[in-house]
Amino acid sequence: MSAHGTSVRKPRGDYAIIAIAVLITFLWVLVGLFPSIWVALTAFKSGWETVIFPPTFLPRVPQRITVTLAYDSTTAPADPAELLSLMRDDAFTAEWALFDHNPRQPIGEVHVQAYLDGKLSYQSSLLAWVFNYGRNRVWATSLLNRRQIVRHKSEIQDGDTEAPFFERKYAVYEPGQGPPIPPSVFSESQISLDSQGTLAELGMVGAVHALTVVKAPERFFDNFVTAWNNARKATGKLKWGRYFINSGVISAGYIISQWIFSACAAFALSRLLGRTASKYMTMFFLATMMIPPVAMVLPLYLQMQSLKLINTFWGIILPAIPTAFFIYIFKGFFNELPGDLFDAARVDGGSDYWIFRRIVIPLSRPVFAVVTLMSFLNSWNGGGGLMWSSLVLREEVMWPFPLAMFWLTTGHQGVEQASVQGGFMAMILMAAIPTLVMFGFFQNRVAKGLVWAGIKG
Amino acid sequence: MSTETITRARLARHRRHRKTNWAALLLFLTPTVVAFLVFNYYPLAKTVYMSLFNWDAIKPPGPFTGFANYLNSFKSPSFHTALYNTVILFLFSLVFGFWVPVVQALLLDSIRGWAHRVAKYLYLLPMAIPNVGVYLIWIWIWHPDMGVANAVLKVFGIQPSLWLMDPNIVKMCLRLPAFLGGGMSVLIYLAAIQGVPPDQYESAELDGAGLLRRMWSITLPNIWHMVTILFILTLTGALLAFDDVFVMTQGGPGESSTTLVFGVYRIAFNQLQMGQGAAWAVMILFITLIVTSLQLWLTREERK
Repeated sequence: MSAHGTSVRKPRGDYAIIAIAVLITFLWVLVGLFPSIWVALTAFKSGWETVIFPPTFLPRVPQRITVTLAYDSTTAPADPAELLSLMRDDAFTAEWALFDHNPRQPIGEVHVQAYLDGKLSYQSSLLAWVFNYGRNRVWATSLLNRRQIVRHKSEIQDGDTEAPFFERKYAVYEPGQGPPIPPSVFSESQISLDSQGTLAELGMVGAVHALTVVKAPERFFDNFVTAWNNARKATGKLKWGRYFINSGVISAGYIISQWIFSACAAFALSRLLGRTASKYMTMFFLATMMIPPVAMVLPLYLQMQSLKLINTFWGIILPAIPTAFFIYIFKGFFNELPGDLFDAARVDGGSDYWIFRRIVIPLSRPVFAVVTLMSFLNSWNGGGGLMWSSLVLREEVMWPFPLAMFWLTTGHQGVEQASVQGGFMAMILMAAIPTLVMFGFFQNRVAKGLVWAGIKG
Repeated sequence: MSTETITRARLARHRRHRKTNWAALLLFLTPTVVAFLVFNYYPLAKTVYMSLFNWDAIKPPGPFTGFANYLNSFKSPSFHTALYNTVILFLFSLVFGFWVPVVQALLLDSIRGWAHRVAKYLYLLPMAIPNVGVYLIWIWIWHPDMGVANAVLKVFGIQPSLWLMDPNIVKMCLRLPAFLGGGMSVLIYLAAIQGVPPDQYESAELDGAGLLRRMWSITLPNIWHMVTILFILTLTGALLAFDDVFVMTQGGPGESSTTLVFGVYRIAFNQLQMGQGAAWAVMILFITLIVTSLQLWLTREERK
C-alpha cells in the first residue's frame, strides 16, 4: 500500500503533486541513464570522433574512401617485383595519409587500387580500426610528411609482432589481366577535397586518378572487433574471450562454494542445533560481517603466498568462501520450512543427511535461485574485488575482465587511449550483456531474497 | 486413542528426547566453520599481531616494536590526510548520494501503472554495467580535454576545470556520480515504503491529509529505521572506499584523494611496510567496530 491511499477521488492538489513526481522521476531516470547511453553511443563511434572536443553526440556513419592510382609503363619500373613494391609503398602512403590527415572525419576504411596502363594491377584495403590500433602500437604519431613515412614504412608495413594483424587485405593481378580502369571521379565531399590536397603533396609515383567517398555502415561494429582484439598477446586466439572465461570460472567457483558451504551451515544452524547453540554459532558467522576486508588483506596475501595459490583462481575463490550474508539468507529460508516435516521424517528414521538431500533441497529452489543471482552479481562484476584480484592474479592471462579493463585502459596514457576509447566502451557493453541476461531471468526473485534476509516484509 | 493422538504423542516424545546427531552436525557445520576461522578470524588476529612489529617480509616476523607503528600513525601527516580525505568523502556521500535513493523511491511510490514499472526498470538498468566500467566512464566524463563535463561547461560559457587533476575538486568529482542514484537501494527503499501498513494512510486520508502531508507524517517515520541502517552503511562504505579511488585517481593528485584503505594498500604493498600498514588496518577496524556498534545500538528497539 502506498501513500496513495484508497479513495478514488483525490484532492486537487494531489494530481499536481503526482504530475510533478512523474516529471522529476523521468528527468532523474534520464540523468541516471546518461552514462549508459553515452557508452552505447560511443561504442559505435570511430577512432578520433571520440576525442574531438566538443564531443559529437550521435555517431556518424563511417565512410569508405577509394583512391585510384594510375601508373604508366613509361615512368614505372619494368620489373614486376619492383613495380609491386612501388605500388605497395604508394598504397601505404595514401592510406596512412588519409587516415592521419582527416582526424575529424569518420573514416572506416581506405581502399587503394593501382592501375598499370589502364588495367588493375594491385589493390589493398585497410580498415580504420586496424590502422588506429596497429599505429599506436608501433609509433605514437603526429602529422606525417613524406620523409617520415618513408623512414618508418618498413617497420610498420612488415609487421610488428605485437600487432600481427596490422595487415590489410590485398590482391595482385597479372599484368594486363585485371579489370579496366574506371572513369576519373572525384566525390563532392569535404573529405574528398581535403584529401586531394594531402595526396598531392606526398609525391607518389602513381597519379591520383579518382577519389570516391561512400558510406559504409557495416563498419559500425569495428569497435567491438578492436575491443575483442585489445587483449594481451598471452591470451592467444581467445583474446578478450579469455578474460570473460576467467571471470566465469571465478564466478562459477564462488557460486558453487556458496551452495555448499553456506547452505550446509545454514541447515545446521536452522535444524540441527539447539536454540542457544544456534544463536551463538550464528553470531560467530555474522560477526565477520563487521570486519572490514582491509583488516584481513595482508595476512591473507601472505597465506596465499605460502600456499602457493598466487596466480591461481583458488586464490580468489577460497578467501571469499566465508560469506555470512548468504548463510543468513539460507537460514531465514530454512526457518520458514514447516517443522512437522522434519519431525515426521525423523520419527520415520530418516538421517539428517537424508532429510537435507531429499527434502530440503528440492523445496529450496527459490532460495538457491536468489543466492545464485546475488553471488553471480557479486563475483562477475567485481572479479573478486579490484584490490584483491590485482594482488593475486599477476599474470595477464589470468585477469578477470574488470581487472583487464582497468589495466588495458588507464594503464596506458595518451594516444593509445584515443583510439581505444570507442573500443573500451564496446568492451563495457559486451561485459554488461551477461548481467542483463541474469537480471532478466531472476528479477522477481530478488524481492523474495530480501524477505528472507529480513529486510522486507 | 485415535491414530492422530498416538502420532502426536510419539512426535512429542521424539522431540524431547532427540539425541544430537553429532556426525551430521560435524558434516554440515565443520567445513564452513573451518573456512571462517582460516580465512576470516585468523587473518584478523594476524593483522593485529603484525601491527606490533616492524614486519619483515623476508624473515618474518622481524623486530618487535610494540605500539610504535600506531604512534607513528598519529604523528604522520599522511595518516591525518587520509583520515581527513575519508571524512570529507563521507560528507560528500551524504550530500550527493545518501538521500537520492530515498527521494527516488518516494517519487516512484507516488506514480502508478506503466510509468511506475518503466521508471523502476530504467533505474535498475545501469546496474548491468560492471563497476570498473562505471569508473572508467566517469574518468572520461571528467577528462579535462575531451570530457563531457567540460563540454557542458563550455556551453554555459564557464571556464573548463581540471576536475580529477585538481586537488581541491577531486573528492567532489569522486562522489558526484552518486547523485544519479538508481540501483538496488531504490528497490530496497521502495519495498520498505510499500510495507507501511495501509490503515495509517486511511485514517490520515479521512482526516483530510493530502499526498505530501501523508508522505511526510506517515511514510517517513515508518521507514526511518531503514534510513538509519542505510546511513550507517553509507558511513562504513565511505570508510572502506577503495575501488573508485584505485581506478579513478590512484590516490592522487598528490595525496588529495587517498583514503584510509587506499593508504593501507600503498603502505603495505607499494612501500612494503607491512607492519605499519597492519597498524592502519587495525585502526580502520576499530573505527568500523564503533560505527557498527552504533548501528546495533540504534536498532536495538526493533529487535526486542
